[in-house]
Amino acid sequence: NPFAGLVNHLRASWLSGKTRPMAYRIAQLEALGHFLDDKKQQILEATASDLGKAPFEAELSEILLCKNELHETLNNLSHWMKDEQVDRTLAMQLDSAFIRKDPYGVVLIIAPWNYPIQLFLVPLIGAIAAGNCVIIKPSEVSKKTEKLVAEALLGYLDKDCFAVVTGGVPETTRLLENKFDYIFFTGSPPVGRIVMTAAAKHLTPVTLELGGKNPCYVSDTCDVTNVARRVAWGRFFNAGQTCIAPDYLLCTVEMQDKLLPALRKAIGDFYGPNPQESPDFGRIVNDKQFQRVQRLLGSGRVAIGGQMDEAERYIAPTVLADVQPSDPIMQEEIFGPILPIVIIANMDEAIDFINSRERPLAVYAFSSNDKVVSQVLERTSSGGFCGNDTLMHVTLTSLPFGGIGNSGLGTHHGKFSFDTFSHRRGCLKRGMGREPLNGPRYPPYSQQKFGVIRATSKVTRKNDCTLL
Amino acid sequence: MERMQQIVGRARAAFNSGRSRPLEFRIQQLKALERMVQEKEKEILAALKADLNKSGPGAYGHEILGVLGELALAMEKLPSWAAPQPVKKNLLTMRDEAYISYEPLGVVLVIGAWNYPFVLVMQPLIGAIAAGNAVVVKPSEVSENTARLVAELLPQYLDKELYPVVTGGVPETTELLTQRFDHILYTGNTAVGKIVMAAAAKHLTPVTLELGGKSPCYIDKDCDLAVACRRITWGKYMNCGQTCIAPDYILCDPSIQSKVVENIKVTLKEFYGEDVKSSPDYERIVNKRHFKRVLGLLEGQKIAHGGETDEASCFIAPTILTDVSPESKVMEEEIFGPVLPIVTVKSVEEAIEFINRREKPLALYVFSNNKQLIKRVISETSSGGVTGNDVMMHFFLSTLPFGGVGHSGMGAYHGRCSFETFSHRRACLIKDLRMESTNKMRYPPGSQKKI
Repeated sequence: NPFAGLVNHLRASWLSGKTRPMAYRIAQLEALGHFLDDKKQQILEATASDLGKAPFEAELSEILLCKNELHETLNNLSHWMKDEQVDRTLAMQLDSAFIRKDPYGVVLIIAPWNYPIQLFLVPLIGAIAAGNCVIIKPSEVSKKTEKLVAEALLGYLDKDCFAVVTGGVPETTRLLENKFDYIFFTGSPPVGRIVMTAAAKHLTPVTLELGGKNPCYVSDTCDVTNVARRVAWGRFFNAGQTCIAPDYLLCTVEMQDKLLPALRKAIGDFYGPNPQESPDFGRIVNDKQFQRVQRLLGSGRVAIGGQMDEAERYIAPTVLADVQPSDPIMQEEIFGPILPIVIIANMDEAIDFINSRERPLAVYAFSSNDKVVSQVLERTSSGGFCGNDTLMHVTLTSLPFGGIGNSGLGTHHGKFSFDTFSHRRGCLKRGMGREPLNGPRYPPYSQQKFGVIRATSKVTRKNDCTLL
Repeated sequence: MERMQQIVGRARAAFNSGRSRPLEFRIQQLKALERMVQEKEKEILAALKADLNKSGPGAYGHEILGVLGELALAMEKLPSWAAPQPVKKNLLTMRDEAYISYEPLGVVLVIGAWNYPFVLVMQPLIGAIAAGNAVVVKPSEVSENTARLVAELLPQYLDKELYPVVTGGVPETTELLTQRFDHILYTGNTAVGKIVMAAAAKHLTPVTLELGGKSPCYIDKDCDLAVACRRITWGKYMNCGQTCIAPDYILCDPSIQSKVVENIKVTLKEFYGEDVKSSPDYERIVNKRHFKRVLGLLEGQKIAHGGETDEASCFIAPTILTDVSPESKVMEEEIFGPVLPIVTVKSVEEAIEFINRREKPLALYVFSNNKQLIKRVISETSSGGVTGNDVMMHFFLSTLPFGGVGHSGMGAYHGRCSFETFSHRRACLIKDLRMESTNKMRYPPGSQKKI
């Protein structure tokens, strides 16, 4: 077991209690902030090299978003760490009842390649805030970023309590043989199953942030220009390699006709006449993914874009019209800059279409009619939902971010990260006195005794004291 | 085995029809459950007596009372629990609607245990119904009378398709676990917990595992021993020790060991009289297999009190073992029987170290007049839950999440926590299709000014 030594070392540090005091956690979190500040340029360069990530996008998604999470956590940590007092029964009025937030211990965070800093750093913030030791396993696919994290991150964090493990599938498989106290995984559903199966051997709780095909319904009553801009932005950000990107569009044939010119204009506004020359448009991460996405182009008809350059792993912002549900592009998560449009007759058909498939990470609905948006929300199920925009619901740290069914289990962001990495321990502290009050519960039992118990075991509001 | 596929398939079709979602429907089902418990109280108590020799008042107090409490709580609070929760917005979303919507997960599987066979299927069922799900209920086959009764009664009171009961043993449960569920709540032991989680992993099904372990009970020299021992005796020997949160073993200073034994002996007489075997309030071991298992734990031990057994009736007297070695068999596995080992430790540090060297337990107990000591023990250990200066009582407060950590389990339920366990918290952001100007900053072409 090549990682046993490392895991044991971290576990020893954990047992020493080092990571528990608030001051320690804050120091580590502030150091993470310095990492983001000091290494900003290297992060932009590494992600540009790995994914052709536009510096503009990288600043927003890899730096700014992480800093927001960091500040939210630093601002609220002392409040989050406090014992939560709970309402008590009449019989327990003089007792102390609270929920204690305990760290789990040694946590493993496995991150993917598409937002290679954000997707390990945001969970890491939660894990540190909750008082754990952490092993970080960045993705080997985003090679330059992996190298940067492996070389630079531990210069900022306590090496006794935090570690970075690099490598591919064989290394991750060996790593997963060890016992962790929590595993946080972001990636695909098939690998999510492998991670959860490995976790089951040790009864390790998990959060799995997976993916799926996020549907985007556009009703006939809407501002086409604005819809096109918001959808194009969400679809083509990071060259489509975003777990919450609108994966496919559902609309009537009339709306498709209106949307296509609007989408064309939006793409032109964003990336210019030749997106390959725009500094703001990304690339596919590697050859394997490029070939996979390329194969999906043979669906429907290319209405916008479709150009490719294999040497650069460039695929133009593309819209496919008249796509059939049975087409290859509708069988897997696209994870590329292609937006297929599937024609439906009306909202009900769109809802049925969405509900006949695996529950996605996000559902999007566009309409100037509130009722339409509400209907789609109420009649579908997904990790999250955004009406009249794309992606934005995950930028609000007060909303939980996570999937359901095939798109994942558990949540994080903001306080939800802290809660995810904490064990909520129910605690009741009683006094030794007033023993006669316990009389009714002891044998010999009688109906009369249980009458008393019933009367005194209803939960009353925290501040009421109805005793005497 | 298509039977399982059909049952779960029907439950899923029933869920997809949407009828379990309206709050009125859920409350109506919960009311029906309440009627069932009230109307069939005699039958329920008879089943519990047949399965575990629980006395009427005992069974009422330990199983029925809790169920009625959860039902009343759920019916009263459901509207507030199920209401969308608005969340704090930022500058960019100021004019938008942002909230968390509580939605049902779909089809939930509840697997019960045999030691409190009624409450351990009912309490999760209540939470799952309240959250709007369809629920497949699988009571433990070991407590066969209660399983049979639950299978008979639920269809008489509840929607038959939404809340089917599946009976059977290991082969039936294994087949059931190949089906796809949207949440599984399992109560039982660690070994089977791993099997359940592995089966759930195939479908990426979230799980709540209420397992067990050895719940330690530390008695400080500075405490009222009479009171402490009475409370411990109550918790330890309730249901013949077959309680997941029973104090499994005692840690105390050698100087108070014999006093602890004496106090427990006095309390045992108070509770069960001179002849424990003839007390209507003392239960029996559930079956011969467990009887033999618990008996085996006594081998080579110093029996300070008790030790009498009667295989024919699966009777084991309340037993105390002293000077127990940490390496002995009785200290390896969860006892789940009326045998209380005392392991001596010289200090609270030693006790904490002892506890931390072992798997995280479901419950932890500490008795002391010294508040600082109690604080310390809680802060320096980990466990599902804690009761200080008493045992098991944290279980009875519905506002505390009840669940384990590490080998004692994952997830929690009871009260509102049940509702949340069986719900999906969906993040919702509703924006306006106008106001496009606020979005300009995020669109390419990028610029430092925009950043």
